[in-house]
Amino acid sequence: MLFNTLQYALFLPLVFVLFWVSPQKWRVWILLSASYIFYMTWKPIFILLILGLTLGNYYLGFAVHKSEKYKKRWLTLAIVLNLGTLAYFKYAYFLCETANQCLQPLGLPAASLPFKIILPLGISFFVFEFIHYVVDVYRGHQPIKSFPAFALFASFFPTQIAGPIKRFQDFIPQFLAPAKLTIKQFDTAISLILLGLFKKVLIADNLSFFVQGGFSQPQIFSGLDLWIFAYAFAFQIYFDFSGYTDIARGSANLFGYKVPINFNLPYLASNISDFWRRWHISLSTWLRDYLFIPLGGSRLSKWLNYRNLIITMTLGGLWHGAAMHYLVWGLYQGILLVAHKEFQAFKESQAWLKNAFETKLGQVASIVLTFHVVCIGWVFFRAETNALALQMLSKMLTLAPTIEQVAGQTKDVAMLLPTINYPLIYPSVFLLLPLLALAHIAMGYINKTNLIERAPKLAKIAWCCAMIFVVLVFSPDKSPRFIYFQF
Amino acid sequence: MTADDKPKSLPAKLLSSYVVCAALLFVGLEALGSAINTYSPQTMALSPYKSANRSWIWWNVRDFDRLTAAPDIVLLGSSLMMAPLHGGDAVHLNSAQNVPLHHKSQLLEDLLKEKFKRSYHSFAFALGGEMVSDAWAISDTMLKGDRKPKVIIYGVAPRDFMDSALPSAASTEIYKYMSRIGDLSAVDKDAYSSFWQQGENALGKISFTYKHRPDFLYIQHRWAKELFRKLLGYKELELVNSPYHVRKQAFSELPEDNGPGSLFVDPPGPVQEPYEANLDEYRFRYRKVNLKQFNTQLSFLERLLVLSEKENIRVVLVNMPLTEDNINLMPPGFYQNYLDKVTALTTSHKALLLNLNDPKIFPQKYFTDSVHLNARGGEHFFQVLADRLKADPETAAIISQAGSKKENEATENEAPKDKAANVKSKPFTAIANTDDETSLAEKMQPKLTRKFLENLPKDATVDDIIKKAGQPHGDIGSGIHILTFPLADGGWALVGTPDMKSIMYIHYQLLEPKSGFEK
Repeated sequence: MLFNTLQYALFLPLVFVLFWVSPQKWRVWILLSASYIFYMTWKPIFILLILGLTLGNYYLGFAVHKSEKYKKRWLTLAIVLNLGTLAYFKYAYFLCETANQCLQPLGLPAASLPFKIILPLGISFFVFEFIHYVVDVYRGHQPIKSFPAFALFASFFPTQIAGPIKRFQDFIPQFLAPAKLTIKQFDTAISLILLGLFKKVLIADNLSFFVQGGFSQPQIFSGLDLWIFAYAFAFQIYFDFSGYTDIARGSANLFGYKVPINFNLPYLASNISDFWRRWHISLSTWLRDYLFIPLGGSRLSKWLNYRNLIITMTLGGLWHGAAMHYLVWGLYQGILLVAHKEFQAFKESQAWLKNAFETKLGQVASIVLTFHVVCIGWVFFRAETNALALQMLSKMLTLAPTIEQVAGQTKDVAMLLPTINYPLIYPSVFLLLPLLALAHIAMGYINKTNLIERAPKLAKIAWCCAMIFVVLVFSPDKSPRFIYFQF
Repeated sequence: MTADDKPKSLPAKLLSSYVVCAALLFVGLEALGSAINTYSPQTMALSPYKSANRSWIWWNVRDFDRLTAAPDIVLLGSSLMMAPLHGGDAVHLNSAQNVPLHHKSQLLEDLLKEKFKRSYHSFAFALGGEMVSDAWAISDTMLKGDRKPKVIIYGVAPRDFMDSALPSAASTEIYKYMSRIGDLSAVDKDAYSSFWQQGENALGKISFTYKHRPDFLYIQHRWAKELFRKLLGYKELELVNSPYHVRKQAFSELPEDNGPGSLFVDPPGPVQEPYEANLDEYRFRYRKVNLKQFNTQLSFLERLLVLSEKENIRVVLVNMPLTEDNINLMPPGFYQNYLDKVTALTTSHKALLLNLNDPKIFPQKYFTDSVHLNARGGEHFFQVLADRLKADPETAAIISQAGSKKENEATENEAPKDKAANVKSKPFTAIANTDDETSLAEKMQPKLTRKFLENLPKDATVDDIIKKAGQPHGDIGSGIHILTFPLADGGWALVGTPDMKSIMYIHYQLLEPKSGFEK
């Protein structure tokens, strides 16, 4: 069940009403049942997977907590169970293909899987939540006693499919405390859902048509076109995922629960390190706490620190999908983080450079540069293969001309640009992208000054009304799935 | 709700929520919009004919509405009928057929004229992907009352009854567009196959905004283009005028959008057209037997036959030719079952079924792929069809009463055989006798010839043509410029140019080209 469907528009109010008319003691059970129904609307059989992992981790949590002698072994078993499940469902084909590529030059027969594996929705997210749970119990936190609360922690339908990745220390107490909902919370929740739908159906979905056109056949476009496609994808993925997160947070708020934010205006980041503090925050903090720090973090020597950064980001890249281009994207992020650390050190030693970056112009240049560096990364992320990504990047970096320009068939710039024009974005895409960038900056100001909270009621009413209209009118007939659902 | 809300009554509490107020305001605006649209429709001027995207059916409906009288014959069918229609006329008239604007079979009209000594007007609602439900929707909306034809010739094939690529009858572009024009709600249960599709349909009935979202999209589309033109100075904003490779990419993702010159069917050259076995596509379409869909589509065929009986329209169902390769892809027994069911329905509703699926009549040389006839196949198809229509006494009697005798009398003295030869050798002048618009080209005494245009060098510009021909007669482009030039050797040339300098394409057609945006 997708958030941007009629199914969800009926499901959510139904669960909302059931939840609030029921006595407190039933509410966790109601949400748990709703979450399992939500999961089963996709493929009912996979309820066994989520139930199995929930039971396994619940009891392993106690085993880790109680055992003094075999604490580490129980933890290892829990991590193997979780990562093994993830590896089986998500990486079996990838491992098989990679093995074949290694075996073929040696003349060995190619291996193949005798059965078809379907990737269960949301597995990457709930597996990471389970790992967080058992590791934190190992580190000394109390395990969750209430089984329904534990089961709901991993299966809570607003965050089930694409996060944010929750922390049980923040989340479980909310379940156990009596839930309450104020008018203000209700308004914030619905506004978040409307904003999320607006981001998804109006911006991300419409940009997706444009992006698909460019990334599927980059060879026919000019370097300039490809930069526009890369910018468009940057905004598509941001509005898609942050739209999803807004709907998830709004839906959770309707039950009186809070889930962490995942984005903080990432394209206003002034360096790559700052970007990762603003982009998919729940994942980057998870990677920091459960991968980077256990590897030694930044306590070790400079080179080991860099190694840890690269390993963390490369595995983080691979978490997004079992394909080489995700791995390269992760590696690229790791290298950027290392390069940024080196540059920081160099900048600190050069007073003139440090001063230059501290000026207004220097700050703006940092943001623009970071955005472009991130866009280059998005090419690896979105392209179907590394070869296609490299082809795109070589054209982008040399501003290569189009087929028409080469053939001298047309000199009209308008004819060289894709003029896809349905429903809102096109042909306005070239106006819209700068507007989206400006909106990003405006949002920074709005958040800083708390403008939405302080706005008069009438303005809020008008804004909400406009959102309802826009969502109803501009949602495309064929709405693509949220991008992060595939991970 | 919490303790801090306690002193207030429930309505007061609810009204303190800006979301609730927004929802109430939205409902109020919906009611207002609905009332204005009902009682003062000119205020909002919402019209299904104004569409953000000009699909194939949009062009057909637009041109059908422009007819001054009901056509005698209407052709229905999918691309299996569309291919012979345009290909047949391309051969018959020896000129490229402009598909979005060409909605009749000149070949069939001339063949029937030859056989029945009367003049006929045909109109074709044959469109790619047309399901039986679409054919019914067209008939129920367009072919009734004073617009009804005497005869409907409907080409059917198994794909029109069962297509795995189709989620429901209502999901086609044709059905969506026809449901904007007419009221198809009586068949909602069959047209929307799933509970959720029915839910969305119900939402369209409840919500004024949701129902009129194509209208709002159109308004937005127009505003966005206007803004874009003003700010950036671009004139060329239509998808159809984008380079072909860009369009090709967009087609898979975006709704249909066609321009007046977006697709031409050329007359065949001396070499046999290549055959492309598009079996993968049909393997996908036939991949699972969806009996529910099949039976639903059969019920739409029955509706079409009942409606035609009621309107006193003769229906001729034509079982379209297919290749053996294609039939072999179907699940075992499916083809025979399809044919049996269609035969039974046709018989019970006193319609005529012509089975033209015979490899002896249509060997592979007549096909361009496993299902579509090539241009020569199209010509052959209409020749066979006209013979069969003449051979069926009941249909022949109806056709012999249809059409107009007056026009026939004017040309009665001309021997049919010679006249047919005339059409072949001098296609433009032969048709010009019956069409004022082509005679306009003659009156203008044009200097430009097709030969001159065909021999233009690759780097020729629009100026080279203007030097020879003088200023163009018109510019019918809605995005790029499409300049029209009358030709000295008959017909018109359409020169596509994005910048009034470089030449994108040159197409030829018989009748004076009209802008696609005129209504």
